[in-house]
Amino acid sequence: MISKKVILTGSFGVGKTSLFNQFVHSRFSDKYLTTIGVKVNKKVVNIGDEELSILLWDIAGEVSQDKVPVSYFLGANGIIYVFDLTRPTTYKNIMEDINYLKGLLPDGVVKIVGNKKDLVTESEIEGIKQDMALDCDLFTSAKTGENVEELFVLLGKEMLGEVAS
Amino acid sequence: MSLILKHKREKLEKQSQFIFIDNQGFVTDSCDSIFKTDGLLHQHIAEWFPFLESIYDHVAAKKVEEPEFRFSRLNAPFSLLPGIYDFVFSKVLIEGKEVLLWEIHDYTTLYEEFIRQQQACNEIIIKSERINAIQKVLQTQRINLSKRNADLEQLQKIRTKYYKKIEGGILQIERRATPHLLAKKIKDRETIDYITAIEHSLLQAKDFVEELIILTNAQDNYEFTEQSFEIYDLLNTISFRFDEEHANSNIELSISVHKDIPEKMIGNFTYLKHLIGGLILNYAKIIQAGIIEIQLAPTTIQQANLIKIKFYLQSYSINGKLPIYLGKVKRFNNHDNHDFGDIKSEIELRLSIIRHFVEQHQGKFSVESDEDNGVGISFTFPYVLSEEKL
Ligand SMILES: Nc1nc2c(ncn2[C@@H]2O[C@H](COP(=O)(O)OP(=O)(O)O)[C@@H](O)[C@H]2O)c(=O)[nH]1
Ligand SMILES: [Mg+2]
Repeated sequence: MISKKVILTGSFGVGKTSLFNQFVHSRFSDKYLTTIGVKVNKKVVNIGDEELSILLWDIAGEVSQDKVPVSYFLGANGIIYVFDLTRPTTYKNIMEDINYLKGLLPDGVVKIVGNKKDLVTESEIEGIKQDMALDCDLFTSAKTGENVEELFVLLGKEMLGEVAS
Repeated sequence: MSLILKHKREKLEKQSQFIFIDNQGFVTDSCDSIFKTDGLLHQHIAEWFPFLESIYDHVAAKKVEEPEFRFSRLNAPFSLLPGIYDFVFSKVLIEGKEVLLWEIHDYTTLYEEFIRQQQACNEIIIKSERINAIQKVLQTQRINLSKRNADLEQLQKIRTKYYKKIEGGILQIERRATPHLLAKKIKDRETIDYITAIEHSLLQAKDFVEELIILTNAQDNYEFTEQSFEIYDLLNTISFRFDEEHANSNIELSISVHKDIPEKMIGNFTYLKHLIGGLILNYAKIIQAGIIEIQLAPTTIQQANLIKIKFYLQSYSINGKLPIYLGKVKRFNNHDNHDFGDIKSEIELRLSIIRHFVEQHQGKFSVESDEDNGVGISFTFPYVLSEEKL
């Protein structure tokens, strides 16, 4: 079975651990427990009729991406950059962060995700899209599970495409 | 060996484990100071747990002369390693053979205090940011409301007063929390609890403003085209909306209609739906758990085609059918003004919203709460009976 390493990154409190728990264990908690360092787990997803094992790294949110230890990115195939739709400070530096991450992982797939969709309205999302320097790939809710599975399937497809080429 | 060296070795030995791995990926030796490897020796280390799976190929490809790889602060990487560890990988020469050395350093106790501090700082930062965001929403809503007609001036006054309190609260947060944040050190839970309370009040304020807007919108859209409608349609719509919003809550709605209530009456259905629905939802927020019983009863009939209907809301605890008593409601009755801008008293604020709207629509409002009978609120509106019925 093909396996790929995927890193969840972004500022603290945006919901990385919650996305991780929703994806791997299908559970959610309202309680906030800060993550320090990194936690790794895996889950197998079906992409079409192929099975892909995703090794997911949930890393402690740093305010700026260049504070994350570079060794964490070793051998990664994909990055999910998460921000919080309710907190503008979490997407303020998105341009610099994404450029930095793409520099670390030139061949990796990077997905930009706005989380906590359940807390904002569609029109608020439209406003945020306009404010942002970059396009987002998906809007998720780790709480309701909306678009969580979809996120990993989308990422998985692109990572497999990269293998084929 | 000197005593001090012996002591040092004993102490340090427990904090780290060294493991040798051959070039096939199997363990050849381990000091087992942190966890026992015997049950795992037949397995390739990449199969031990997902972390090793994701880095094995890279560390195995290392050369002797290359610098070591360090992975810091691994959080419970494995059921036998439940704390926080650093893993260090390097290639070493042992008796002329290249071996992969995996060092595990246990830093669990080192990080305990650090995690506590970080947790506190992060919580405060997140909360302060949220509060600022809510404040922005409230500011824009203030502008929207002030554009509306003079009828709303009274509402605007309640709101402004409430808003002032909130601004005061935000200043307090800044004054209290900023020094802690700058020092990256929170000494106790007090600041966090305080900020949590302010955040809670703000969320209430936001809810409150949203409700005002819904109710005032309903009022704006109120057209004087009244038509005949069925009371059961009204009740069904209200109960449907209630179920939607309270699907996972601890509140149930029960409705009873007196036999003298006519089936049809004249009024603006959409408007009534919003108004009465809004009042009931507001009441639900006051009691938070239990059963709300709505009783519809006619009061005195003054004219042949006019009826006054009393909506009586009584709340019970879910199990024992004990009425819910709210001491604060009693206080509400003792005051007799609309001045409920106090940030601490959500109940009074909500009651004042209900009262305000009822009175604005020629209704009568009253509230009772005592230890024997719990809390009940009632509002009475005059309705014209439908011609069809007469
Ligand atoms: N409403 C809502 N809350 C969320 C969502 N995702 C995370 N949270 C909450 O946000 C806080 C921080 O989440 P966490 O996953 O620890 O963030 P991390 O620091 O990025 O790992 C927690 O209190 C979560 O319960 C979401 O999609 N919706
Ligand atoms: Mg986390």
